[in-house]
Amino acid sequence: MKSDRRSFLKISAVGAVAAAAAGLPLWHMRRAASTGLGDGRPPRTVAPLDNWQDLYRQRWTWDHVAKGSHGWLNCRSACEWDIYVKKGVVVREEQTAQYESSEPGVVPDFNPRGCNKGACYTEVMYGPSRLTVPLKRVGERGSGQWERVSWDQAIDEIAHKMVDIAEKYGTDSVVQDLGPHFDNGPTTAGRIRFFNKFGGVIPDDWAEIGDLNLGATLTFGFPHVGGSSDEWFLSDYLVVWMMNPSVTQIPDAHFLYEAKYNGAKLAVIDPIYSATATHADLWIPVAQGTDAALALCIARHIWESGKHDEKYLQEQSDLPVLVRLDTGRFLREDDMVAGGRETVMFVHDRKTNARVPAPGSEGLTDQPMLHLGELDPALEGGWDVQLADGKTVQVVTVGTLLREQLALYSVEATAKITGLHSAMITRLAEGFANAERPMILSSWGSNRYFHSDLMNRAKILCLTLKGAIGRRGAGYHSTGWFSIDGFDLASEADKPGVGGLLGLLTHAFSPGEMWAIATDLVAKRKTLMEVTREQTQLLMDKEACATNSASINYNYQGIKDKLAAYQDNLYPQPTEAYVNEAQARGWMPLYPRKQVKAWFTGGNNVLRRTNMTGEFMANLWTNLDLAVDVNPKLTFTGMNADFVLPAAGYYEKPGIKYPVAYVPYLHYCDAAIRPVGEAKNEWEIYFLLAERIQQIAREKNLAPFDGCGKREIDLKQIAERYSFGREFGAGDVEKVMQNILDLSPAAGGASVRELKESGITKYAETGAIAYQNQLYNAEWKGEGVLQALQHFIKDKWRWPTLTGRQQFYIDHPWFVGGGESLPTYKTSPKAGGDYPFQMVSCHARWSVHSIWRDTPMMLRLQRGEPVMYLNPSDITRLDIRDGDYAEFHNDHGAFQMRVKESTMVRPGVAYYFHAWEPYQFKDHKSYKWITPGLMKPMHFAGGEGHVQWRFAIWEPGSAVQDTRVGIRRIADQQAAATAGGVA
Amino acid sequence: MQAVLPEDVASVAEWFVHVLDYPADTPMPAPAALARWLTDADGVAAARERVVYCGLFDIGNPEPPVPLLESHYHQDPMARLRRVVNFYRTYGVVQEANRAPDHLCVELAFLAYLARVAMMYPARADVIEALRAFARLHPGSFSAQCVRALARHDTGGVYRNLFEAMDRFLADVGGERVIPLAPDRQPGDAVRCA
Repeated sequence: MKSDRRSFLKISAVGAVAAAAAGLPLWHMRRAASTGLGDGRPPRTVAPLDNWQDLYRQRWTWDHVAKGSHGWLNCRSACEWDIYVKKGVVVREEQTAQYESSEPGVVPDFNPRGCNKGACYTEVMYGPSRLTVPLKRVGERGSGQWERVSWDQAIDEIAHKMVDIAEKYGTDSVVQDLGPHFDNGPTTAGRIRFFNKFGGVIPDDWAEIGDLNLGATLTFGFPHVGGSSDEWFLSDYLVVWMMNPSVTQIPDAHFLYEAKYNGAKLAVIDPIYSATATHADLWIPVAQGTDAALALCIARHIWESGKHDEKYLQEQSDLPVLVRLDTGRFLREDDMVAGGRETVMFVHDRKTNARVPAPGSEGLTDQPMLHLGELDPALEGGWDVQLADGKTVQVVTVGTLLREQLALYSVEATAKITGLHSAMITRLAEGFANAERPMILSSWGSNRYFHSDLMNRAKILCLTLKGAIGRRGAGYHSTGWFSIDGFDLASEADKPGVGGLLGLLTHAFSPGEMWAIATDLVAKRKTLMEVTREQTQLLMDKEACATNSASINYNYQGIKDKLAAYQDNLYPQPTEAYVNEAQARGWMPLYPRKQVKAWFTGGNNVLRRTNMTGEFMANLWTNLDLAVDVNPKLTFTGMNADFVLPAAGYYEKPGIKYPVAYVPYLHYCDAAIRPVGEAKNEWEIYFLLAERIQQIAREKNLAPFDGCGKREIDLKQIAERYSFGREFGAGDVEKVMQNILDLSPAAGGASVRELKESGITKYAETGAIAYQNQLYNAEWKGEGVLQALQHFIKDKWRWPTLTGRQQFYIDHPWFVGGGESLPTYKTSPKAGGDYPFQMVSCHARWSVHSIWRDTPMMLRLQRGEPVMYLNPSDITRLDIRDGDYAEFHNDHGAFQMRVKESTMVRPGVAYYFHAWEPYQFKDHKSYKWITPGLMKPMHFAGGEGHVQWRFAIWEPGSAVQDTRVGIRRIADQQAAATAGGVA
Repeated sequence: MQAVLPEDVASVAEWFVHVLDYPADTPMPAPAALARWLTDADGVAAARERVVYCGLFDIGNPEPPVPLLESHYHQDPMARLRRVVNFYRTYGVVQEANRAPDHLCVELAFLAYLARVAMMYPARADVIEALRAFARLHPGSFSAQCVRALARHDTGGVYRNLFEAMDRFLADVGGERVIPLAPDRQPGDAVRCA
């Protein structure tokens, strides 16, 4: 440094030399004006750098800004972002704030939207686990030995393998694990479309993940309920029950807190003192898994205090429907009349003192409405009835049975079950009963107990008794969906546009079936909902090799005996007997029919997610001839695959964020930059794969396969079919996107070009009634707060249940025999063995599943590695110090995790935020290795009314929250720290 | 002691600018002279990857693990900025309007510029002296710290390898090893410019 000044003076003296250097190439430099040099143009100068602010401003430069979102992310919110791009690199993202109020002056607007994950996706996008080139495994699976291969080689080898597998085992031995990460654009459409055309199996894993609200399905006939999140603001009594929006639904949570300023009371029912509970007027720390008892106590109070809505219950619920006491079955027309209909139930009319067919009954094919007219159905009472065979039986209303059931749940009895003080229960019950517009928010995470269905049925009962379901500012919110109709067509139809729709219908349905559909509609014998549901199911039955992940796991994972140990004593029959009956009767489809030989993932991380992962890897994964992960990121599943193909990330391909109803805007994801490295979008990847398979099939002159026994699969035509008859090429992903938009009335005619500029557009309508979309409000045309379920409440459509009503009594023989015909409280079975701690999990603030789990910035905001939260009293008793590593063990083995002391957790509970990658644990084995994931046999039931398999509506799942563990102190902390597999 | 020629300085400095400044889609072939400082040849090919770049250096992050700004590493940031801008102006140039003057790439670009001036005027030993002084006082004053920061964060090793090479290169340029003429060239011979 000492030569600084002297050198500078000498250098200054040679300034004139530079005058002759005018012709030299310059990088990041311009000729300075003071030299008199230059190319004739005014010299560019910089702002004076007199302070740090000037420097800061200079650093924030970019080339262009694109509109984007996190398209195929399994996040229940949707947010539009400005994506800043500099020389082909996304340098940052920033929230937009362009949302309007649904009803200005009545409800707040949807701004701001976004969260900490979205704000740092670029860290994931350019992070160390980002995949940029195709890789082929060269060592053992999971050995970490990879060879970089070209796309041509990867596609060629995968295609050959798939054809070989199809020839040996059938096309339905190939599984596309759809996963929770999906969008409604070409990415997911390409994935589904390819496997539909290949004849592969697409299992739904909504329930297996623990996200499907089967309690809602049993009650309403569908699991997805709720309108826009600004409706929360209109409630006067908000109950957040098994949900933590401050963490898992950050962009919408503000409506809850704004509702408090609007006079609403906020009650949070959660064993954990959650981030949402900190804002509550009333926090109810219910004992783990006892929610059903609490709900039934509230229901009892509502009814006993006369705060129930009798007229609503007469019309909308099954409380007046008659049940035979000798069988536990509904009284049916074929009981009363020889040759009568099995699906016509009865109510007792108080005016005429007579039994009359219950409006809404599934069998009333010419009366699909719930209008009572002059009827005055009794909610309670019992009568003797003479049957067609001359036998006399006693019948009572569902309401009567329910009153008897509720009698068990006095405040005192409930206090013992739930561990709550009776005064707290009374305060909650009175608040609920006295409210005009009670609303319950229930997340997907409310479905992870073995008995979650009972809990949610009981929660809904409280609302139904109040007449709150479907009322503005009240009711049940568990996530409704808009319908992007063009997405479904892009996933299946053979031609683009309306022609594809017609082609699909004429291909799938016979002329007789088409005629029946048309006449049912014209004659108003069925509601639009019923016709659509029947069409969709018929199409699914004829065209798709669809099943559910739990069925695959139960049959192929090698876990039957292990599950039996914990749940066979819970019902009259062992689980296997229930499952065998369901599969023998065709209630629950099981594909692959023979073996699972190939597994494609991409929208998920199956080896991180699946319970009893060790068994999955030992019995299913090792049996695979081919495992492919198509993913922007190297996950634990990818680490154990044969090929990993780098998929384009969120900002690298066009997409539509899946259309949750919380925010009534379509969120477009523009391709802000070209895919990083050699990544490709999924539409192109599967296009290339289809092309190569078609070439191989033609070279071999392969005969058509039988699909999964439903239809012919001609691999010689797979590329023709995938490409819509060559309408779209490998690079036409934006054209596919436009096709999806064109066929989606909800998109309101939006074009890709417009969406590139705006990023969002308000939905113009809710779209067709389809599997996901159960909004049931065709009158909503993009204006006003979106209320769901109006067709039932306002238009008096019958509900898609056996009774056509909100149904609390399930008379399926399995349910009657299993003691679950009515909502009830059952204790949580001890999964994993009789150990003192219940291990429960919740979604994290710092990641959406495992996608951000290894991101340094997010790790810095929590504890940097997997951590289990324990109550201080437990930590003391176990002689563990805060921050120590501990061993968690049960019948299935053990894992190691660091412990954090926290009073937010009840004693006896081991609590973790989920989705850590197994490679972040010692020996790459996480808590999932010892989590049994119980499967409730009732959920395999079928054959009656709405209790029958429907893709993503009714299917078995896998429960994690009943897991029990013991905890041991680890003596050698240093060794434990060294052994930890922290990323 | 092996001499470093101005043309070596220019080509190597420009190559570093290319790979460190949001590397372009079209790779720039590494100059032969780079081999003197690069210990791992694989790093040259890997330098095309942009994925690590943003995570380590990008200005979009609240605080990049390895900032590429000279002012970040010194106690007198504004004095540093003024000094480096003055250096540029003395030689008739300023940085582009959207560039921080003390960014490593800008400083390397200026180093390349000075080297080319030296190539045009081989008899002017003072230009060589300026070249040495600039390398030592500016990019060379913080490149070693960048290497140490990279050692903590660059799991792939690509950029660590490159930065180590650059640090050695700057040490050589600033350490009196640059000579004004190639041994086989005389004043007045034609000078090849890139």
